[in-house]
Amino acid sequence: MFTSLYELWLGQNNDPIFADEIFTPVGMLTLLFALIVAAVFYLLLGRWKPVFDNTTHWIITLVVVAIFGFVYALQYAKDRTGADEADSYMQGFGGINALYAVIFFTIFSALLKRFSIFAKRTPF
Amino acid sequence: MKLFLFGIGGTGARVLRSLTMLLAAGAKTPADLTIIPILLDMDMQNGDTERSLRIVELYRTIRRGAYKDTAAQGGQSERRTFFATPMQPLGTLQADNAQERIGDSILPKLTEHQGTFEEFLNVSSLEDIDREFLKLFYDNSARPTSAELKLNLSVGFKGNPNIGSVVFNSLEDSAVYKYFTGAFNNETDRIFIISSIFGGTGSSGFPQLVKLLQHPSQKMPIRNARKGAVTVMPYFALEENAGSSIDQNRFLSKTKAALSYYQNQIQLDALYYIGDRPGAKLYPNVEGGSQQINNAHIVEMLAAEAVLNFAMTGNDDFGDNKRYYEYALRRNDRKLDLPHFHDNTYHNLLEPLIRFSYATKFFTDFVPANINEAFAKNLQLPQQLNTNTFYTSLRNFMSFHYKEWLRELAENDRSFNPFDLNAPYNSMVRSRQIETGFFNKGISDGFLKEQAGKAENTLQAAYPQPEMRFMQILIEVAERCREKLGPINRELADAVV
Repeated sequence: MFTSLYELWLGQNNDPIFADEIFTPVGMLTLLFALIVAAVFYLLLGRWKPVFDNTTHWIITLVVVAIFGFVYALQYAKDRTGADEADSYMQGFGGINALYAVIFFTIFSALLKRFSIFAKRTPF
Repeated sequence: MKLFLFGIGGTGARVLRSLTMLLAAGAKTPADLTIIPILLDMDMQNGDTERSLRIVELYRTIRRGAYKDTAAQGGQSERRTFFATPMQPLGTLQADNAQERIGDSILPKLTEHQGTFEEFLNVSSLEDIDREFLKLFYDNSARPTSAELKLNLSVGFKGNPNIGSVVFNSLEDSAVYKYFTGAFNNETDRIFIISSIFGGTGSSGFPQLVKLLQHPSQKMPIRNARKGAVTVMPYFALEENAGSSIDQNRFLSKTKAALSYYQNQIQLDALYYIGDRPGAKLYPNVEGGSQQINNAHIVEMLAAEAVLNFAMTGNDDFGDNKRYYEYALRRNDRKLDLPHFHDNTYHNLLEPLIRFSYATKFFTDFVPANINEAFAKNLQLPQQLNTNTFYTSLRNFMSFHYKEWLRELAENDRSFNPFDLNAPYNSMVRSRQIETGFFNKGISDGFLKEQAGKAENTLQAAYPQPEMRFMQILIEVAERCREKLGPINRELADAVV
């Protein structure tokens, strides 16, 4: 599933390692990371105390998730391919992964916010 | 139990104002109590009366929105603290044999008469000898300020009980009294009368009303009902005003004369007396009308406590003889704070006032500033706070009436100044500052957000109606603030000389 999601935007890479060994674990971990961060935001902090619950906090979290998505994808691709420098495909992959991280986090936010107390209405 | 509460004249209205504040704060009352306030006053435009009318109306509007079942308490699962006791105008009760509807105001018309006392007595149709005889009793001089027969009754009796007693003599024939007798059908119901002894309306209406209630022609439930009264003796002084027909130099002599009359003629189960040495603050000497709007005074609040004390007294505790009550402070200071009051007043009145003051500050300061918090959005406050009748009434009550009442109490002499609602929450109660530290910020915005958010979340299922849920949140937040405040030291500090 993740392979087609990434190749939809990036196209196929000549090196089959992206399809075979990179897209799925990066996609899975990005999804899991977005879920954990959303759970911390809405279920842990959002039910504990009103310390990190408003839209500004949510946007900060979103940016963190996006940065993680970009950096993690780029680093993982470099490690698996053994490249010294990130080429344009890898940078594109990082960017698209950041985009998916944002989308995943937004979806999890919509699903989990009802279980929160203080972030029940964040961000919408 | 219904308590038919007659408030006679301006003092009756002012005590009712204080009583409404105490009831809004959740002062201790019997669980099944419903108060039927009936203001008796010829002066329909009186500023004090008009203000009390508005406050009671707001109270009723808030209460209708705040609770599921607006009947008296008892067996209710919902927590009722603020605005807990129902207040119901006489005209809304079912009355047997009532010929005439009296409307649903708590200030029903006492008489249809509009004009001078002379016209009320129909002097022009009297025989000459009767007219001359009448002049022996009343000043009929040309001086407009003291000509008693020429007094316009539409502003009350202007401190003249000799006029008021004549007018009140026809109380039995009034629509309001007839309606009252029709509505009074339960032997457990009680009657209480608030009046002053040194003015015109109260001092004349009280004995006449008591006489009427005790008359053998009254039906049994009325005659057998437990009856009490609070008689407010002089507690303020007036500014000099040569143009006014109210003579404050007669306050004490009128009080003495009336007290000796009450001693033998007034038969009630409980009679509360309260008064005070007038302070340095002089009240404007206004005869009546919309200009008569006196600042709240601690005596009025304690007179209101008498109403609650009477309602709380068990039927068996009255005994056969009438009981007299007086009120004393723990120390005779001119500036009063929470420690000045004995246990009953402190627990029944002042503790509720502490909670209600927190609730007021929360609703008037915190909520508008945090309108985008989750709890506020869930209650639809961004849309409803300035448009919904419940919230606008609550804001009106708290911002313009409760805060004003506290301010007046604080500025009067004697002064009662226990709260500073403009101070931060941690120092709002003057007699106790909440200690704060690095890990404990006391009652902070974060604390209030947490309490309101958690309460809103917990109460959602049980109270789907936002207004009812909001009232429960208000009660909960006030309770948590009170806990945070901790125990109040009720030892009196050394008096300031």
